[in-house]
Amino acid sequence: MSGNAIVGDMSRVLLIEDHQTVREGLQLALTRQGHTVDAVPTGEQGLARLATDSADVVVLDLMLPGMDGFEVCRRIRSAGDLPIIMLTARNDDIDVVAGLEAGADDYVVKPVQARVLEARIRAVLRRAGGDSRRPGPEPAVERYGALTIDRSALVVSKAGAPIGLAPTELRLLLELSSAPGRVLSRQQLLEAVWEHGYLGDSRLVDACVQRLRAKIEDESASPVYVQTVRGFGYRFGPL
Amino acid sequence: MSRARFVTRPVLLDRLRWRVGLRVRLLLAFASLGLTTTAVVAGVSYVHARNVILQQAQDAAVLTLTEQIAQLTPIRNLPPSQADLDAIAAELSDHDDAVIATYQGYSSSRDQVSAVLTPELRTAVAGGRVVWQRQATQGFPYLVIGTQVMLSQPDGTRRPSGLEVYRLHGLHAEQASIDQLAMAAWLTGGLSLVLAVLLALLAARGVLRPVRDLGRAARRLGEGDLSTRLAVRGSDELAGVARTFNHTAERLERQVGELRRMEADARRFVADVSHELRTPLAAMTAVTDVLDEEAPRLPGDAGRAARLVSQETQNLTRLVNDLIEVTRFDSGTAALTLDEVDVAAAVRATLRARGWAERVVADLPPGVLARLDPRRLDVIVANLVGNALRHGAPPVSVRLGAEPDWIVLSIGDRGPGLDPSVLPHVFDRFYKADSARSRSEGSGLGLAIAWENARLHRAGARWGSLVAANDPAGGAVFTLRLPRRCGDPAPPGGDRPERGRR
Amino acid sequence: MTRFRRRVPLRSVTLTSLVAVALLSTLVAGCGVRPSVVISGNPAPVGPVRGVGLFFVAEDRLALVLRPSTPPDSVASTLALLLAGPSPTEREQGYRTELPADAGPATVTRSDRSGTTVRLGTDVTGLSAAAVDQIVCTVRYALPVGGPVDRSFITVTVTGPDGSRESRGCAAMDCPDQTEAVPQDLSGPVRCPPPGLRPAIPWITPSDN
Repeated sequence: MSGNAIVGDMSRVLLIEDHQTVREGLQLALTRQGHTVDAVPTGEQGLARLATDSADVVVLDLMLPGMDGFEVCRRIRSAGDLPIIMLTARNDDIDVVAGLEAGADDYVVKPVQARVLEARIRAVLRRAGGDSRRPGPEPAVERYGALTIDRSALVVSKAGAPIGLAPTELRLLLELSSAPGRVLSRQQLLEAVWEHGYLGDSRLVDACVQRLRAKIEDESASPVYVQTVRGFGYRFGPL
Repeated sequence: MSRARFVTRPVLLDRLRWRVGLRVRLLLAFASLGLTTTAVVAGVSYVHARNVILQQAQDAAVLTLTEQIAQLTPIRNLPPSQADLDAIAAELSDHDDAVIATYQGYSSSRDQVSAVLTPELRTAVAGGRVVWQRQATQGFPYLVIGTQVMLSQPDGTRRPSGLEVYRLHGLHAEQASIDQLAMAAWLTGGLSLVLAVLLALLAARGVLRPVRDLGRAARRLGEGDLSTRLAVRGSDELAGVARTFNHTAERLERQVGELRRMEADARRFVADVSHELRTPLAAMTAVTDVLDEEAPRLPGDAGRAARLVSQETQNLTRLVNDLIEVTRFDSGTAALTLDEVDVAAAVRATLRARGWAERVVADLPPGVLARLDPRRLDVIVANLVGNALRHGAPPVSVRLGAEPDWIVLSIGDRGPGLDPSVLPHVFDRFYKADSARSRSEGSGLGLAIAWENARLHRAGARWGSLVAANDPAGGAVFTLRLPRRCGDPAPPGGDRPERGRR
Repeated sequence: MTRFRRRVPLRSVTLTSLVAVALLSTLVAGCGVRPSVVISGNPAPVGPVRGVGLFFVAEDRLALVLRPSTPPDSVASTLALLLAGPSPTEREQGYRTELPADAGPATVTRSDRSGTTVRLGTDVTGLSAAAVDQIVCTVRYALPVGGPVDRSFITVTVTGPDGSRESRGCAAMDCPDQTEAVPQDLSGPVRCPPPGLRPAIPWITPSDN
């Protein structure tokens, strides 16, 4: 149930949720799973807490008083590559897409069972952590045009300058570039990157690709590295 | 006989009715009125005028004759000789008229005149008065005037001389005048007919146009355009009808608007309620795992209570999620997230995710690609297979068939099948075939949501469908048909297909 | 209900057309100048006459015969013409006289009291009534206009060597609108036949002309 996480059970979760009972319930359940949960009711308090203490993953409710969840997400994303999981009351188009564009790695819909949230947390932590690290004799650094991908150091640079990618974005890029020229369907990507399987929402993939392109492509409108294959999925290259 | 004619030729009768409709009736009425009136008036005046003309002509001719007789060259011979008779006749004739003078059998020579002297005329002349008669031969009308010539005796008395004078006076001029009269009467009749027809057409148009407008507006109203209104022209009965129509349409529009608003309010209420329910449920759901884990360790009833609460919280969550799905369908905000999928792989993933892979006989040919919403497909398949496993009997089969424009998924079982009375309601919301079935088995919305999900998949005029039937070999079979290339999702609001059409 | 509606228009159409046809036919038939029955008007006009009037007998009836003459005429000369008898032309046409040929000469005397007396040269008692009437009527006709006229007293007495005949009037002249005198008995005043009695004119049919 706890999974074979390389990361230790003592992962720190920052929970930002304004409803008291939901906050208490989630804190209670996640703590039982072995996470250290820091629960705050507002986005401002959450940002302040991040400034002082560190966290491994942020679970963020979108409907917040004061500063709304999207703004908080954007701020956290711009500050670093901390994994963010959205808590949304509806899986309507607008909320989910806006949240993903704001930089969230994944989302869950309330009411959510603690174990489901826990699984998402673990998955995203795996993405952020050493799971992406590839041990082995293969050369760790790959060059594709102006892009340099270091699989062991988990650093992606473009024209020498390192690019800050969120864990999911990085994982996606690594997944695509692990089979360059091969078309991967959204379902496959969901399963490989998000560990959702066919039950997943392919919008996650689309939003993440958008964010990835914004960071690595010269021109997002005509992508070179992450190409769309209409009706099939995505493909890395050919350059 | 006429009834048979009625039944077998409705189209002809419709056309006949149109032909003998209001316009024609008005036309006939006006025309017959105009014609009758003109005929009567023209006829009477014509007859009167003719009589007057003839009378004047006759009187003039008679007067002329009498005066001429009075001024004859005095008769010197009685009995007159032939020459005398001829002289008298010649004196009385003029270029227009022929005159014959007779004396007891002898006559001046004009055979054509003597031919027209009828016995009645001669008898009347013998009576001592001036007599005349109109005759016509070969279309030529003429007047025959006959009179005796009297003598005045020395003592002042008169005596008949035995001399008779007959004059043939042509009535051609009068005929011409009368013919002109007749022509004028005919012309008037024709003009009045034309005028009557024009008036009839005008009147008909005045009536028919509002009637046609009313018909068109009523049809538009029936087709659903409740904002149809008529222009009220004038203040007669038709304007009254138009005004009534407008009032009725307005009231109808208002009522329908009310009903729609009430329906929308009800839907929104359900949606809002469901949303509101989510918040407390979120808190409860977050800790159901804790309850489940701790339940065995709780003493006695507390454990059972904990498990109960956990179970029902999950059921409630499922129900609320289903309700929200349903409200999205009703409000038309349900959207498809389309993706290219290998249908066989998707179905297998669904079965695998729920652990049904071994319990289901799957005939899923690979390579069947379709563009649809994989999440919704998963929901449909999960619901149908779950129902089959729960209410049917093994073996449960899932069969995929591919057509050029459709994918067909058949999920069947070998259970008791569906009762024929249940069959038409099986996709209704909250419909439970057997009221004794426990509530724990689903929210009652599963099939309704599956149906809506299927219909949401739409490619142009092709709609996805979910059909329930009984397999002739026993058991129930649900057939899902989805277009292979789905386009836009279904349009919102009023265009929703009725539930009755399965 | 629809059936009724279908029938009524057809019937009204037929009815209207029938009426129209009837009207039209009446109009057409009554057009123009139509022949008529014999219509009577004013009394017959009087034609001017100039001539000597003699009364002869035609088919047992008294008939007036005119002869052209040059005025002035006297009654005596008129009587002389009468006694001369009808001309050959007149005789052909059927006029005759019942006066004997040797009845002349005749003399006429007039007096206010006893009227006119005609004296013949022959016996008068043997004369027929028609003969007497001839003389009476001729004398009456010849009398100048303008004198005192009292019909009941204008009598003519025919006398002869053997006596005289009853003075009488002339029915032929006294009964207006009559072409001939009805033989009457010699006594009493002139009696005119009732107006309804219009004896037919004898004429010879044109074929005999």
